[in-house]
Amino acid sequence: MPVKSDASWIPGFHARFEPWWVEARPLVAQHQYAAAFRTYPWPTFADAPWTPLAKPLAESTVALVTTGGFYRRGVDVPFDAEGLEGDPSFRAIPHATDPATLAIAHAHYPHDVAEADVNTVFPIERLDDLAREGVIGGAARTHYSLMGYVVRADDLAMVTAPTIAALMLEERVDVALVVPV
Amino acid sequence: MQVRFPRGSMFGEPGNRSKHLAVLRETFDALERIEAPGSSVVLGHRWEAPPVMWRGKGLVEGSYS
Repeated sequence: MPVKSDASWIPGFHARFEPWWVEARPLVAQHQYAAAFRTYPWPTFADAPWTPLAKPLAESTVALVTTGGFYRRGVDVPFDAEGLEGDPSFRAIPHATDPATLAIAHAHYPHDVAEADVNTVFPIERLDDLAREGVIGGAARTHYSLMGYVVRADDLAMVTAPTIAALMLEERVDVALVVPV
Repeated sequence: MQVRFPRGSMFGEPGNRSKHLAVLRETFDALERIEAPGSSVVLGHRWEAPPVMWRGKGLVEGSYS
């Protein structure tokens, strides 16, 4: 099922992104992220689409979207954690995945907490707890993992996000909980 | 939803199941209550463990880099 994305901001973003990247790239290469992103051409929007909850949460199927860089060890290709422009791809993580088999490819946040307990960033087991309590209808069959360092916002907005949204629609997901790191 | 935890630990300390569930419950409560885009909620939970070390610094709450 196709998902529409608002592309009206893309030309303006490109016009501001390219000169920014010329200046920022050497700073990023030296890991001077604060200096590099101080002038990032953040897209701004006059309004936002609003989708009210269509049915009670206790009847809703919930999918997770984590930007923690998780992938299935030995199954998925790890994210490009070291690339200067980041990696806008995603990994589909079946809900039935054993959390102990997940690994992290993301060079921009401390891993200690997530490696000790994946639920601190990607609460797949806690969704089961809430389903048993009747707070949510259930966890989706599939969750989604991204590596949250991506400099080209247009890649995320026009390719990654609509692709994930379409997959969620196919699996009749009602609620997507995005967990940034 | 905004939490007062170090970066990379959005639901609280490792193994703190009750806090993970509390953050999730409050998030889902907000989903049912919020009626307009642009709304935000700051949760009151605090970090109850030593700072998380990152690039030579100890992160506590609200720390990013």
